[in-house]
Amino acid sequence: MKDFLYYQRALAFWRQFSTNHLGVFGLVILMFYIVIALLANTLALYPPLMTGTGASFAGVSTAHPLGTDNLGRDIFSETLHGARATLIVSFLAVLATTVIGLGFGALAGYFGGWIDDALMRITEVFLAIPAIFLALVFVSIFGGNVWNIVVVIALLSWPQMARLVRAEFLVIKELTYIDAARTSGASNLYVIFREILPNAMSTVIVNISLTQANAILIESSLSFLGFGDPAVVSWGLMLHNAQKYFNQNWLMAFVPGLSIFLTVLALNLFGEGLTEALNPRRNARSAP
Amino acid sequence: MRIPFALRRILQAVPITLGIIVLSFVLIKLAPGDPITMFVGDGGASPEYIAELTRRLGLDRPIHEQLWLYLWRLLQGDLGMSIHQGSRVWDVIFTRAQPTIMLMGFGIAIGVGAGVLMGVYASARPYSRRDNAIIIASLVLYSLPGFWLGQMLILIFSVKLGILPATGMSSFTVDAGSMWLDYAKHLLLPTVTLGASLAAFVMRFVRTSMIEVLGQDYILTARSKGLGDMVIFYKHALRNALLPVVTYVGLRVGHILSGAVVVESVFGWPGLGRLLIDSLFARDYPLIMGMLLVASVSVVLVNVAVDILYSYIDPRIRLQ
Repeated sequence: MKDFLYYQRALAFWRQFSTNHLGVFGLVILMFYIVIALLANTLALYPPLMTGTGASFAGVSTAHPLGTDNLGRDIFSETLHGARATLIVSFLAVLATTVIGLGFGALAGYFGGWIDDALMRITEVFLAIPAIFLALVFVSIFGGNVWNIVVVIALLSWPQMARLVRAEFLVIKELTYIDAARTSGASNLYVIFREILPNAMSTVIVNISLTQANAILIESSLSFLGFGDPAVVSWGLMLHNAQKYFNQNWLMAFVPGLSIFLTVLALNLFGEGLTEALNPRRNARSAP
Repeated sequence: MRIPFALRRILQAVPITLGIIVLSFVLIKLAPGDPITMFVGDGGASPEYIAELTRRLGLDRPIHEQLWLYLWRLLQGDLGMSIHQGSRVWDVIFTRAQPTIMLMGFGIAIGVGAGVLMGVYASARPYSRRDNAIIIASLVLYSLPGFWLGQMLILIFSVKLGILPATGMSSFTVDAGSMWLDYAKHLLLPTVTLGASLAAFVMRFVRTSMIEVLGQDYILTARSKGLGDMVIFYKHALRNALLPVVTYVGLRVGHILSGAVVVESVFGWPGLGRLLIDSLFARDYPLIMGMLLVASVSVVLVNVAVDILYSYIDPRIRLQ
């Protein structure tokens, strides 16, 4: 019975979501890149970063579907592996952001008082610092490996998430059913996780897809500026390498950049579709 | 007694500024390498000189006293000495901030200009085909990474068409007469790149705000007086719809500054962004921290200024 209810709800959600064509379009692009990332090892013609797979700046051919770069690396294979790096890094960063943001946001919103004040002042500090400055300084101090990039993206994104969750909690905790739960003896933890959080989830889910778009942009910016992990191919690193060679092979810059753009666009479209489907009352368009 | 709004707003900014200072102090302390070694360089120095330097930089004191010393020096406007540039951090930042401010100024002008025009255009026929097209355009502009947009503009206008310069702020070879045209040519691509994402936000903001304003009674009054669309749109509605945009652009200054760092790197623009990247590669920590601090505090100050300005445009704010 319970399974059936979940199925019903999923179906109702999908009916609502699928009316938003742009949202579905975003989901399709997203699936495309996820599949590419999963199958990178099978689909790629050469290992990532392998030099001399052909002549430098070779044109489009069956051996090199998107040509080669300055060191004779296969752009097609690099792009596939780049999808993997970019998606995994941003996914881990979003996971960390969600855990930290949910935790602190719930604490601040539920308990209020000095906890709320202190946490909100901390988020204000983080929101005031221009993102790329903090990201660059952090990565240059601790090193530009994948884990540090994950940490710095989480560090930059959690205040937004925490503030959203806090705002939801502030509203929901005043509702009558929460009073009812408390009177019937529910503990704080129970009220936070079982009573309030499920109702705050739609906001959180929408923000997850927007955070992921932002995480991809931060990761690519860092790699593009030369502060990423040089041992891992990512789209940003490919753009970094392409900078000097616009004349020789324009695909070097075009393909990875287009991939970043399409993934970010897809996440934004998908996020907008989610907002409409999860919150039918709140029209996605009215909130910029 | 009520504290005036402006003063209240300035007081609110104090803890944030202190937080930024403490955070940057912690980051300096976490940075690898001994600051003394970095100061004297690879050549080394006599033990007496090192002891003297340690004392002068306050590194022999406990950590909380070092923080106080750091704060005290900041209050006097002393950000320390740049290791590689050999001059005061503040002077270096001040010189290099000017091209960045110019870039941001023109970028904001283009972004707001294009955003307002497209937002008004969309709001005239809400939910029409035109409106949908503009909303999609906004999503596309917003999702375009600045560094890639910049590269593609260079590819098209500099490499393929050869009509605009790819990098730098000016050419050396022009005579005084065409100097301004030369500046304008160098400015065009970077400012368009920087303004694109701002335009996307402003466009949606203006659209929403206009649709709301156009539904109000005084617009109906204006219509029933027989005023034309242009007058109603640009004189009656837009004025009120633009008010929140002021605050909004103020809130985005930090993002625009972040964008400027990337854009400067793409176009070889000699501003703060280039300076930041160069000093990061050179590990010039006093200069790096100075920039982090100045950039963040500037963002806080701009936000305070915008809020105060807004309270004069819309006095209702002061009472909240």
